[in-house]
Parts: sequence; structure tokens; C-alpha cells
Amino acid sequence: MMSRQKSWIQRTIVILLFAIFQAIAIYLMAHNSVVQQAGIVRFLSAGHHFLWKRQKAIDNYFHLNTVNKELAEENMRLRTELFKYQSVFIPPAPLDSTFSCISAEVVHNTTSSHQNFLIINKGSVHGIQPEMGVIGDQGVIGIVQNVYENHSRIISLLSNQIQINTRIEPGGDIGSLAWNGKKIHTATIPDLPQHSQVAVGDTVVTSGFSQIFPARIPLGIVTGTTITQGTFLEAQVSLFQNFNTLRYVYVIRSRHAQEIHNLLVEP
Amino acid sequence: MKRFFLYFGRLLIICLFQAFIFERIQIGPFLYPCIYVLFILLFPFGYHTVYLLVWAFAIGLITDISATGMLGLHASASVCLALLRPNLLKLVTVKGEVGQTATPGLNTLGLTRYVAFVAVSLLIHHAVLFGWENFRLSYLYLTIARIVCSAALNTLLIVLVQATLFNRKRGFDS
Repeated sequence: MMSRQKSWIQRTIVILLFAIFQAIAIYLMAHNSVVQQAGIVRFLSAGHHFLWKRQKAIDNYFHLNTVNKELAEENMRLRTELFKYQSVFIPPAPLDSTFSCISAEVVHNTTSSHQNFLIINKGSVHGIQPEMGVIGDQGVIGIVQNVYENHSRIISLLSNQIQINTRIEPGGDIGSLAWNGKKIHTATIPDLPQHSQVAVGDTVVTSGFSQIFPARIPLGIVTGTTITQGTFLEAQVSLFQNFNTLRYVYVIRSRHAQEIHNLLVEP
Repeated sequence: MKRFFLYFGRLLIICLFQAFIFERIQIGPFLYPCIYVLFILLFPFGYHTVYLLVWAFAIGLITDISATGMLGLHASASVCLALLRPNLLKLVTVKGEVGQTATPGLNTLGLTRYVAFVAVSLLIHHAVLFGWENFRLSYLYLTIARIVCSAALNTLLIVLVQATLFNRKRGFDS
């Protein structure tokens, strides 16, 4: 009699404890963005930025060769671009550019989740704000989510949280590109109209409709199209950017973002 | 008390391995190496579920902080596994077959039963983990594929680690 009563009490305690822990876990998940602002998490994240930085310092050492090669290639490409411009025209006045870049190093990068993210080593001190775009040398990387003093957290393009507004050249069709969750170098544009002229081999570039990314950043190549649900044309895209070997990225600062945002918010 | 320090040390070591080695191995979204579940599976047969829940919550939260950007994800999955672990052990053992202080392993359960135990535990854990992570039905088939693939990989990893490090007759875990 006693033992049965005791085991009943024990079972209740177990279930209660389980419920409490589950509630805490769910609360943490639901209030993630709020909690991340809180002091304790900021303290924790400072701790693991420290760890990641150390890890990265060792890591970078082993990748010096490849990084150097990539940088040299990028330099070469930029230099040829520059020569082209120099030979064509001399600008009458200083060029007025809407966008400017802040270069940053990737401190932490995940690719094995369905909500991948990156941490970069520039933050609010360097002028980074939430919702800025981030590009790599071969395409879009993601969008800034949280900004700390010296670090920022970026939602990766390889995440089911973001879509990028794109244009398919040379046809000119507009669609939003999203990751398909399967491989880290493929994505899809699921909502093209059926009559759009998309062919295998077309280049996908950013449309420039949002103030997050400038127009005409190459993203990838169309590798196939299928008709989904009888109404839409879905284009499979092979991305140029290799997310596994990402080292350096550029955060894009738009001078007119605030102005356009205000226009959109005002009635 | 000695037990407590043993488990605490084990928790720290497994967390370090998870954060610095297995989180760094990124093979793509379908294979997520997740070795820390071994910690929950290593407790003795007769270990009380109340304490097990506390340990599971602790290791889940530590993994959340050290690895993912989303707090509570691993904690939720670990706690679910800890709640169901006694029932799983009842399924794979006959009553009175093993002592209460013995730990589940290849030497006590044999290969087939231990692999089955680990595999089912991991399926439960990953189902909760990836379910929370996606939290939408449009990726349902993908999520199921991720659960099965990752569980297969981690079963292999965990059985190998258990067989090599924790399978002694009179080791530091007995």
C-alpha cells in the first residue's frame, strides 16, 4: 500500500518536472529574440564570441593558401573591371553611390541546420544595423538580424526564414529565391508565372527592388524548371557561393534605406 | 557525491566534444552529428527519472548555448528523451535480468538490443529537435528524411563511442 502510494507520488513529480522543463524550453524558444537582448545572454554570447574567435584564429591558419588564392582571383577580376571603366569614360563629377560596403570576417558559420546563421566580427561600432544585406564574393549571403557592439548575427540565405527578390536574366522575370532545404548549393524560385521565358543556363541576379541589396548581384544559374500545382513555374537554381568555405563577407549599407522605409511606413 | 562529480565531469567532457568537434563537422542539412545524447543514455538502469530530467535539461541547455542560435531547442528534445528512457529500457530488458547499478551498453545488452535502444532513443530525440527547428508542415518529408538520416549516423557514432570508451567491466563508469 505504502509503496504504491509512493510510486504514484514519484510519477507525478516526474511528470510535473517534465512539464516545467518543457515549458521553460518552449518559453526560451518563443522569446528567443527578446531574450537575446537581455543582459545574461549578451554575457554568454560575449563568452562564445571569445571562443569562436580563438577557434577561428587556428582555423584561418590552415586556410591561408586557399584564401590567398581566392583573394588574388577576386583582385584580378576587380582590376579588369576597373580597367574597363577607366578606358570608357572619365566621370564628370564624383560618383554618387547609394550603396557602400563594410568588409567583415566570418567568425562562425553553420550549414547543417534548417535555420543556418553566421556571426561576423563587425558590429554597431562599425556602423552595422539590423536588416542590412550581406554579400560574399560570389553572391548573396544573408541579412543582418542582431547587432552587438563588435559582432553581428546574420540569417544565412540557407534558412527557411528569408527570401531574396531576384530577376532572371536575360528574360527579365521577377521571382523570389528561397533555399530548398536539401543541399547547400541549390535553391529554388517557386513562384514564377507559367508563361515566363526561363531557360536552363540563365543567370539569376538580385532585382534591386528592395534597399537591402543593390541590383544585379549574380546569385546562380538556372539548372532546370518544373511546373508545380499546375499553375506556377518553379526554377531550380545552382548557387555560385560556396557556403562551406566562407571567410570574408561585405555588409551593404544603403544611404537611402531610412528614407524609403519612412515612405513605406507613412500612410 | 562521488557519483555527482563523475556525471558532472562526463557532462563537461561530452559538451566540449560536441561544441568543438561535432558541431564543426558540417556535412549538410541531412546529417547532423549529435554525440551528446550519449550522456543521457549512459546513466544506470535504476537511475531515478527526476534526476535524469535535471541532467538532461542541463546538457540540452549547455548545447543550446554553445552550439545553436536558438535557446531551448536541444533542452526540449533532451528532456523528452529523458522522460521516455525508463520505458525504452523496460522494452529492451527482461525484469531482473540486469542489476540496477549496471549501465546500458554493449556488455550488458548485447549488440542487437543496444543498437535498437540507441536508435529508438535517437529517433525520439531528433523528431522533437527537428520538429521544433522547422516548425512548419511544408517541409514535412524533408524533416522526416533529416530525422532518419541523422539518427542512423548518430546511432553508429554513439555505439562506437560507447564500445570504445565506456564498455569496460570495471571502468570509471561502473
